[in-house]
Amino acid sequence: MSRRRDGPVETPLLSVRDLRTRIRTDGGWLHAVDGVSFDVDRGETVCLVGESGSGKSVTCESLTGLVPQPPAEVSADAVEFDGESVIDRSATELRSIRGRRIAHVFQNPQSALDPVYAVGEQVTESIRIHEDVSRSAARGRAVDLLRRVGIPRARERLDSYPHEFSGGMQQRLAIAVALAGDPDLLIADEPTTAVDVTVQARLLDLFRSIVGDGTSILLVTHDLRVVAAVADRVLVMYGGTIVERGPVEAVFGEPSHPYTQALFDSYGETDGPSIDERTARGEIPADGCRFRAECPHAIDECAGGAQPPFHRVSGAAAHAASCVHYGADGDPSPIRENATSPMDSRAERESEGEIAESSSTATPNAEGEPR
Amino acid sequence: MPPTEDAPQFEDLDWDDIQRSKRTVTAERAALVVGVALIALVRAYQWLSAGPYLIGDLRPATVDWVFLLAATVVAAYGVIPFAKRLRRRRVSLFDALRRRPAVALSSAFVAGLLAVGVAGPALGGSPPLRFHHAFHPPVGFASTVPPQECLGVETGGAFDRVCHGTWEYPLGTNKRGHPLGFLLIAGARTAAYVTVISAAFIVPLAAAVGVVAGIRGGVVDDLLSAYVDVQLCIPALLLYFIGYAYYGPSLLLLLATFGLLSWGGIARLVRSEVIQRRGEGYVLVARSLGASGAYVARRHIIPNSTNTLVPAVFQLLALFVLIEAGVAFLGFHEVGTYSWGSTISESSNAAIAGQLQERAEQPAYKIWWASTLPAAALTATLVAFKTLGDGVRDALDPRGDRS
Repeated sequence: MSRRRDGPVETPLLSVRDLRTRIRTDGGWLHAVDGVSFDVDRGETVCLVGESGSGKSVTCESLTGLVPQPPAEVSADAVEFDGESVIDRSATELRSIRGRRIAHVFQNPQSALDPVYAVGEQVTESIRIHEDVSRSAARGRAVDLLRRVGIPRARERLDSYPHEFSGGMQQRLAIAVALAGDPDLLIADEPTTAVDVTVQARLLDLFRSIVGDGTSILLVTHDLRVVAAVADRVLVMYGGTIVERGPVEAVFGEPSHPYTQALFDSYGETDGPSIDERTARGEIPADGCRFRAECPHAIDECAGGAQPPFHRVSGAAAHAASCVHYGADGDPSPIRENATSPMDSRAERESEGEIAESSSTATPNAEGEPR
Repeated sequence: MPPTEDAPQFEDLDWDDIQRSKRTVTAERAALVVGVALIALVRAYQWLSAGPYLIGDLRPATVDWVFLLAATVVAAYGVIPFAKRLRRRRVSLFDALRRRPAVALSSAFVAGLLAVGVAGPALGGSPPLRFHHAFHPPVGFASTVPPQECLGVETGGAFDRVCHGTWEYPLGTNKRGHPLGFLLIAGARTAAYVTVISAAFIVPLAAAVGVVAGIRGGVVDDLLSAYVDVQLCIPALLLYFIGYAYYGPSLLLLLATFGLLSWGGIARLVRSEVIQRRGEGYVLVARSLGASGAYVARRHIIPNSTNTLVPAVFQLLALFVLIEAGVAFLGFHEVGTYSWGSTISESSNAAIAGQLQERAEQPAYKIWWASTLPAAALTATLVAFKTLGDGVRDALDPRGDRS
């Protein structure tokens, strides 16, 4: 099937450089996103992982101007989508990109659908928003969409209301809503968090098939199983900055930034000291390395100035961490000893698939390293 | 070829094609345009024709034209969208009404009221004064205050005559000899005018102010809310009396003062509802799909606010009927219009300050029908409006039809 995905191959679909979003609060400016740069290639799934409050969602909503401004302010050196800058667009121009080119899926499926309308009307909303279409044309499109996301008996269920669907089905519907405008990039903000594990597995299959159709996905999650299942590349976020990035096998096999290691440890059941013992929870600093207050390897060079530059950390060319220890003068060996892959920290991960197997072979055998 | 379940066909969208199919004619707009055009035509005909009468002895006044315009607006933007939303339901209107007889009864009553309002001008002016027919009791009852000329069966002696009801005046007559049946229908017409005109005026105003304040927030919200608060402090009745001092009694003046000053409460309700809805996931989804603020308000926020808006509006309309009856009871109504309030007032023997009428000649209990029947009609109207308000709210909520 011929699709509109034939842009210049060398430029990434989405290219973000130094994105900053600050939000005015009663206590001054809150720097929710503080200099984030990344690319999403065509037909690629990029996962943004990190703990709650690390700025993942704000990053996504800043891209298309969904963050309410004011109180927020978004600035960036560049946000280019399909070769065109979107950061300096007017509100109207941004609206014409949303839905048609970049679509969002949000965390909570129960509230994502308007209870007043039958689902058949809602899934075609992105077409309806931009133009009025005839009812029969919209219904035909809606049936295709419901089938696309795997809703059985699509034609009969067009006239059902959202409350008549289960949570998993509602999330499929929300994805159908996002897909209606035939977007090039799907930004999914924790789409599997509110559903149970079985449903989650089916949704991940759906995401894989969406990527198979040529749509790129930027997936926000804090669930590393989701990352392992669908991601091509991983971005690890902490305190509004990206601290580590790279192909999923490299990052999972050799987590290099101290924060990434802590994050992966917190997921696995390790025999060693818990993350609370290894790290000290403190205020996140606003300069230098944001993780230094909690980092067991923090040194004086971590403080002050901009975020540490990215250094290549492993065999994979694109795998880099924003940590001074990986620089020319640093010695990363004490950090490397802590590397715990989430893949082999749990036996059940073995069954997840080939990614798990390939990463476990690449992992240094250093699970639960005591300090 | 239609897509199969196994291999869903997923066509590309042609946005240009969609662009062309944008519709400008909707049922609502068509109804509004046709209605207004018809009214304008008839108005022009009346203006051009020689006499003051339109057809026969029909002689519409300004308030009648205002009512017809308001009815057109309510039909176009109230009834048609409501019907559209009901049509998409799987539960039919008939089944829904059968399950709730109170709502069915109320909607029949309100429909009758509005029909009387529309057909009202055809009733013509007042029936002639027949003082010699005053105080006929309703059929099946007897009166110890007999009319000079009793049309029914008369019993008793010359000094204690008892007049029985007659089919000439099935609901009896008041002291002017006006049949109660006529007075009830004329009062229903006034009630219909009050509700329809204020609905057409208040709902758009309150909804617009509430939605704008709720969606924009910030300074706009502060200003609008402060204005509404100030406005709610001004007693509308006082303003009506001031206007009364200048222009004399007028139903339009009453509706204008109460309409202008009473929408604040609903605007506040809508505002708080909108602020809640604004944070809902589907609003964010709509925005993420490229919806404008106006689209989100029209398509998501207002339909989801009807749960509070609709019952509040119906309640306010019922209250307006009561206020108009109260003002008429006090005697500050137009002499030519018959309100339920004025009919009750004329039958009571209380001396009312500021009223031209003398004390009623008879104690009220002896001529109970002249006050009880309009009071019952008033009560029925209030109950019907409130019940119908709840019924409409439930009908608009798809979560209600678990059948």
